[in-house]
Amino acid sequence: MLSFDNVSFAYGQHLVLKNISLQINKGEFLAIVGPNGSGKSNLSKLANGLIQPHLGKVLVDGVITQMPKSLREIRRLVGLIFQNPEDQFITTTVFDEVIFGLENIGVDPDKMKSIAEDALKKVEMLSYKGLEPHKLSGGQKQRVAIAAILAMKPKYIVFDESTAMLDPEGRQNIITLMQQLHTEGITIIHITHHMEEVLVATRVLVLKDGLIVADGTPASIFNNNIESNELEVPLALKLKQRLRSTGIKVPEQVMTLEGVVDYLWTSS
Amino acid sequence: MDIKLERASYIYPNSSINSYESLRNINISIEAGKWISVIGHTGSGKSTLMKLLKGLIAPTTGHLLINGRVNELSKKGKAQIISDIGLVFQYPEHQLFETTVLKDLVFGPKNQGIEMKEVNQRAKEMIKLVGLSEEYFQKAPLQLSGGEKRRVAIATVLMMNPEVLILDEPTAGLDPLGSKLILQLIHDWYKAGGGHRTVIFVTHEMNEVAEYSDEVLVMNNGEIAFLDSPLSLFLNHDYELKEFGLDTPDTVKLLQLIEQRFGDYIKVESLQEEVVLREVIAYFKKQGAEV
Ligand SMILES: Nc1ncnc2c1ncn2[C@@H]1O[C@H](COP(=O)(O)OP(=O)(O)OP(=O)(O)O)[C@@H](O)[C@H]1O
Ligand SMILES: Nc1ncnc2c1ncn2[C@@H]1O[C@H](COP(=O)(O)OP(=O)(O)OP(=O)(O)O)[C@@H](O)[C@H]1O
Ligand SMILES: [Mg+2]
Ligand SMILES: [Mg+2]
Repeated sequence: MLSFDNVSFAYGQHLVLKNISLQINKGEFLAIVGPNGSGKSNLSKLANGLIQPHLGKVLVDGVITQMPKSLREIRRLVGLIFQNPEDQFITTTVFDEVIFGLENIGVDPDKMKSIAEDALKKVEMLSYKGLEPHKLSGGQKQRVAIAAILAMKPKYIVFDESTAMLDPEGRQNIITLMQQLHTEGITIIHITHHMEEVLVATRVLVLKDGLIVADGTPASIFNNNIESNELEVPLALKLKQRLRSTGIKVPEQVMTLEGVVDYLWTSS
Repeated sequence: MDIKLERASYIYPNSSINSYESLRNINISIEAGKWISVIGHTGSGKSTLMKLLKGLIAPTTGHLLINGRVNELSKKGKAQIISDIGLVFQYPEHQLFETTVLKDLVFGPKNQGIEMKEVNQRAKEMIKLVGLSEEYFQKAPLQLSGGEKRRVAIATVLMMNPEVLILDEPTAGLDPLGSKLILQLIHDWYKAGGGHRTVIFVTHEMNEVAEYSDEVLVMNNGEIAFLDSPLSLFLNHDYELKEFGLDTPDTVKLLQLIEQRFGDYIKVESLQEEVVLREVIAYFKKQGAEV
C-alpha cells in the first residue's frame, strides 16, 4: 500500500499540497486528473521519495520515505516516469539509459542485457538502442523513459503524463500496456489530462489547488465533477447532456459515444 | 508570406543510422493566410519539417523558397534563419534560457535593434495576450509549471512580430482550459492579421485539427501522405489514417457510429464540435418525432 498521511509540501511560501491523506491499495489502477499546477507531479515525486513532505509522512508498503536508508528500496518499489522525459535521461545511448536504472537497483549484470532489450521491445524502441536519447523525436523520448522504468520491474508505476506527446496509436498502446501490467498485479498510477483515458481506471482522483477535491469511480467523476473542476468534457458527455435537455433520457452510466448511440438505437 | 519546399529531403548530419532520411521528397506550397495543421506518427518528421521551414536547418537536397526566392545558404554553408517566421519549439525549455521571463521576452526584439521603450511596451502586451500578468516578468522561467512555460514561450515568439507562426505541439501537457485559451489566443492573433498571417500547427489531438484548420498536412515516415481539408481527409481517408497510427476526431466517430446503427449519414458542413452536435441533435429530434 502507498499511503500519504496528512502530507503537506511547499516551495517557499507557496503551499502546493495541503494536508493530503490518501491510501492507494495494491492492485489499484488509479488515474489522477486536475488543472496545470494543481500538484499532480509533486504528489508523484513524494511517492518515490524524490522529494520529502514538509509535514506528515509517506509510506510505501509500510516503509517511510523519509529514511535515507530505505530510499533505495523505495525507488525499487515505486517507478516514476517523469513528465518531461528529458529530465530523466543521463546517459548517451538509449540502451544505457535502461541499463543505468538496473545498475542502480543492483540487478545481476548477466541478466541486464536481456531485461533491457525486453523493456525496449515492449515500447517498440529496440531498434533505436544505439542512438542518443536527446536526438530522438518527442514521442520516442517518452517511450524510452517508459522502458527505463519498466525494466526495473517496480510494484507501483507512476506515469506522469506519459501519453502527452504520443500519436493516437502510441497512446492506445501505452494504455494497453498499463492494463496488461495491471493484470500482472502491478499498481498503476496514471496522471493525465485526457478524460477518455481515465475510463479504464478503477479509481479516479481529482486534484485542484493542492487538495483532493474528488475521489471515486470513473463514472461518478465523469457525471458529477467534470465542469466544476475544469476537466475536459468529452463529446460523449456533451451529447448526453444535450439529448437529456431535449427530453431524451440517456442513462447516467452511459459514458462513451458507442454507448449513447447504442442506447438511442435500442430505445428507438 | 508564401513558403515553398521543392523536392526537399533531410538527413541529420550526426545520424547514427546510416544516412537515414528524416524527410524525403517534400513538395509543399503554403500560401499566406492559411491555418495548416500538421499530424503524423511519432518520428514521422514533423519537428524536422518545422525547423526546415524556419530555416534553422537547410534541406540536404532540394530548396526552401520564400515568396518565390530560394533561401540561399550563408557563406559558411549554413541555413539562413527566416526572421519573419516564428517557431515555438516542442519543448518550451529549449527556448527559455534567460534568468527572468522579462529578459526572455525582450531578448529577440532587442537584438533586432528595436528601441527599448517599444520593446518593453510590446512585452506588456504579449504577457497579457497569453493569459499571464506583469507579475510574471521577474519570475525564473524554469520554475514555472508546464502550462506557464508554454505561454511564455509563445509570447517570446510573438514579441518578434512574425508573419508566420509555427507551433510544435503547443497544447501537449496543457489542461483543457489552458489548451482552449492557447488555441483561442493563437486564433485571435491569426484573425487580427486580416488574412496575411499564417499558422502552422503540429498536434496529436485530432479534435483540435477538426476545430481550427483550413488544411491538414499528414506526415508518414518522412513523407507527405496527404494535404487536404479536414472534412475530406477525415471522412474519406480514415482507414489510411489508422494505418499511419493516427485517428479521426470524435465528431467523425460519432457520425460514423450513427451511420452504422441507423443507416443514415448526417451531412455536415464542417467537423467542428458545435456544428456536428447541432446536426446530430436535430437528427434525433426528428427521429423522436417520427416514432
Ligand atoms: N521547482 C519549483 N520551484 C517553485 N515552484 C514550483 C517548482 N516546481 C513546481 N512548482 C509549483 O508547484 C505547483 C504545483 O506544481 P506541479 O508540477 O505539481 O503541478 P502539476 O499538477 O503537475 O501541473 P501540470 O499539469 O502543469 O504538470 C505549481 O504552482 C508550480 O508552479
Ligand atoms: N537531432 C537529431 N539527430 C538525429 N536524428 C534525429 C534528430 N532529431 C530527430 N531525429 C530523427 O528524425 C526522425 C524524425 O524526427 P522528428 O523529431 O522530426 O519527428 P516528429 O514527427 O516530430 O515526432 P514526435 O511526434 O515524436 O515529436 C526520427 O526518426 C528521429 O529519431
Ligand atoms: Mg505535472
Ligand atoms: Mg516532434
